[in-house]
Amino acid sequence: MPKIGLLGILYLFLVPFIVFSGQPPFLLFLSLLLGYLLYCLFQKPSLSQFLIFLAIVVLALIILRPHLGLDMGLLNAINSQRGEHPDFQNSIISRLVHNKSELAHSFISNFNKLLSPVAIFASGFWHWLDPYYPLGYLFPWDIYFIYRYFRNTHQGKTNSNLAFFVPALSILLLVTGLIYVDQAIVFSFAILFFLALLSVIGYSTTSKKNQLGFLVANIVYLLYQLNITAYFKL
Amino acid sequence: MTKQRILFWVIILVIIFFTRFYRLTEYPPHLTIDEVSIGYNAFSILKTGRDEWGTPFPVSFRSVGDYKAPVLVYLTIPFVWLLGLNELSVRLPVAIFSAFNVFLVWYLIRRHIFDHKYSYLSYLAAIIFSLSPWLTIFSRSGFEAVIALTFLLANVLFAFEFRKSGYLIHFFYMFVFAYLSAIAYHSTKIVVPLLNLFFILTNYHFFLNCVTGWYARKKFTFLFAILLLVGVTVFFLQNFILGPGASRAGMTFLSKDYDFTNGLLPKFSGHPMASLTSTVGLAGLWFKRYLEYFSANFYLSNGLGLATPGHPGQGVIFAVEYPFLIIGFFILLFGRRFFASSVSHYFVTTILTGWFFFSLLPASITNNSQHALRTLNIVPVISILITIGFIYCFEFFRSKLAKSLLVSFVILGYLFGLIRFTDYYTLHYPIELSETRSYGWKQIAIFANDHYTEYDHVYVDPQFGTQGPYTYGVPYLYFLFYSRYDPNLYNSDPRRRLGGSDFENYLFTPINWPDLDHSQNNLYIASPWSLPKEMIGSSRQKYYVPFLNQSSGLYVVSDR
Repeated sequence: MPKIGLLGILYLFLVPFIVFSGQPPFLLFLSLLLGYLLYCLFQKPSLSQFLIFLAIVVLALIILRPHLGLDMGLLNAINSQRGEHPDFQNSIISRLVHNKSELAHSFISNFNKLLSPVAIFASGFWHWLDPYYPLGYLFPWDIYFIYRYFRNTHQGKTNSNLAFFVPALSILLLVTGLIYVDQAIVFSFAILFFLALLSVIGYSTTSKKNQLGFLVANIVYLLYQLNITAYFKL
Repeated sequence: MTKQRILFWVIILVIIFFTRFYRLTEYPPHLTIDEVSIGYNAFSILKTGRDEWGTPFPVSFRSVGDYKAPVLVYLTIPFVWLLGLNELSVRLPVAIFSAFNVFLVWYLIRRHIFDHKYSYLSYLAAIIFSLSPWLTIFSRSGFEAVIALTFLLANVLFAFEFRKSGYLIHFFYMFVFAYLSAIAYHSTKIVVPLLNLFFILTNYHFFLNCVTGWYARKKFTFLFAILLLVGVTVFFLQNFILGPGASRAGMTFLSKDYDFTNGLLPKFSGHPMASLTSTVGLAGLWFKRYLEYFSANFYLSNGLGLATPGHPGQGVIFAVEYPFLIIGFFILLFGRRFFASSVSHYFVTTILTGWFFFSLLPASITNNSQHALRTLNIVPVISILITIGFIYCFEFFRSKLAKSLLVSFVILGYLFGLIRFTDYYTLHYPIELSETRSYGWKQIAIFANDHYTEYDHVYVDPQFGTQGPYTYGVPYLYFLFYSRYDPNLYNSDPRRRLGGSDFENYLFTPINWPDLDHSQNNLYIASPWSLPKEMIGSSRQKYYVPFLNQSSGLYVVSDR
């Protein structure tokens, strides 16, 4: 495992979702902590860390008092589609296809806004800035560093190492998709921080020259975005 | 042939029959404007040797200004000759090619993709490919992309053959099918050259050795082949990249997209360095559009757009396939297992990875997000990845019980997915999207053809829709198609030569009721908001075709 040097730490501090987050400091701290624990569970299974992880998730849920992020218009759409069936009250197909399981589309939609690749790397901040503005939660080139992490660092690790990681990740994904987008950010940011950590390790596997180059690129990118966002106020 | 293989082929043939041919003219229930255009141009070439604009044997069909790729039009000609100009003759060529694609995919995978130990997976991949909703909906309509996919598959097949054998003839066929694919549909003009260049660059030393070997052994054949290929390339560039084909690219390029022109540009224009920020913004938009093809909603919710936007719809794959697709994708990027080693594992995974990523490029640099048709080239790779993901999970479980549970889960998932897809495709799609998919023009065209001689003029409003004049259609082709109007007469009509679409006493123009001369006995075909309210439901209403969602429809009224 390569060591994260000073450049790596600087890289981590500049990640767009931390710079632009707008989250209350305590909630951001919880997100980062959950992300770090997820990263630890990804590296090595540990029951104690998993229990701490669960406790923080519960604490975050108590603080947030989340509401289910169901799109009520979707219920009407499901009923409307059921009504399109001839003799819909007795049709088995209409009952089989158009029921509450279709609310999964709402889950996919919430999930898409926060954790789809397009949100993570290209346009996650539309929610606050503008429907068209391309600004992701991570840097676009983090895709390459995450790929590099899996290619160079993660190869050869066995699946049994993921015994606690998979349930922990599943909990975060589930909660992110189920509750209102504004509240789900606490949990999606945890996954983003986990990805940022993988990216920083991937970044640390490159040469010092490249690390410096990308650090400069990150600063330019952020300054550019800070300048441009002034023109995108809602 | 073992019993298992026979069973597999029977299953595949049954799937092909029901997904491609069964009630082909009824689902979808109406021809799209592209289908009538392809049909009428094939009819016109058959009768006159010229297209609807009078151009003799064009290499790019101007049609309604979209400069259609020529291959499907020419392939439709024998079907129109054999079956006449109708829905079946327009749809059958694509359905046949789509069926052939299944056999090509099976052969390619069996021979070149999977390791010998896993060659049985080619049957599973062929079943997954043949069931694909992504492919099914485009196979049942006249979409050129299906034909382009056939040639792309042949191109890849010969690329693999060439890499194995090093024969000039395999390289020659690889080249021929590359060009056929590139001229068959617009998006393959980007995918095919990139994929073939990628193939050559990643096998540069092998390619160089072959070229020097051919030159040394068969100098004359080699030079002749080079001359031919250069000639074809010049012809291709002149006619399909720089010629009329370029105008189609210009029309659909990302910079014309609504998100850019109306969303980003107005805000960037206020910036002191507007040209720089708008260029960076366009690059950012492209990146966003590219990554949208990795979003779950494209695969699970609305990739195929079979329902009103905002309603639950149909993704491009079945929900049960999604986890296997993700696992298969990671195996492609980080693993070697399952892949054939006859050349090398690396070679197979490199080509598949290139195929995957290049296939998403054309759709991402053009307008509209998440375009299933423009990314159709990726379906064979998706089927391979789903197959790998499934077999990886199957082998992951040690106990028989776990394996049986997985198989049962998958079969049930497919059954549910098939029922859901059939429900959406046959019921909700025609109803919810009948207005935007040109429903009603067939019935109107047939009615008008029976009555147009009774009137001085037949006015047809190309603007229609429930809410107002928001949909601008090109209905004249429906009237030509369903009346089988003589292309000789149409081509020679002086109004056509001036660029118009009117013929006989048909006038295709927006209807502004007070401006028209009502002293004559005219027939008007329009939406309700183009006509006086008192006409609707009166004795002067001659015919009405409601949209299938009953929101509104197309009205035919007369002056008397």
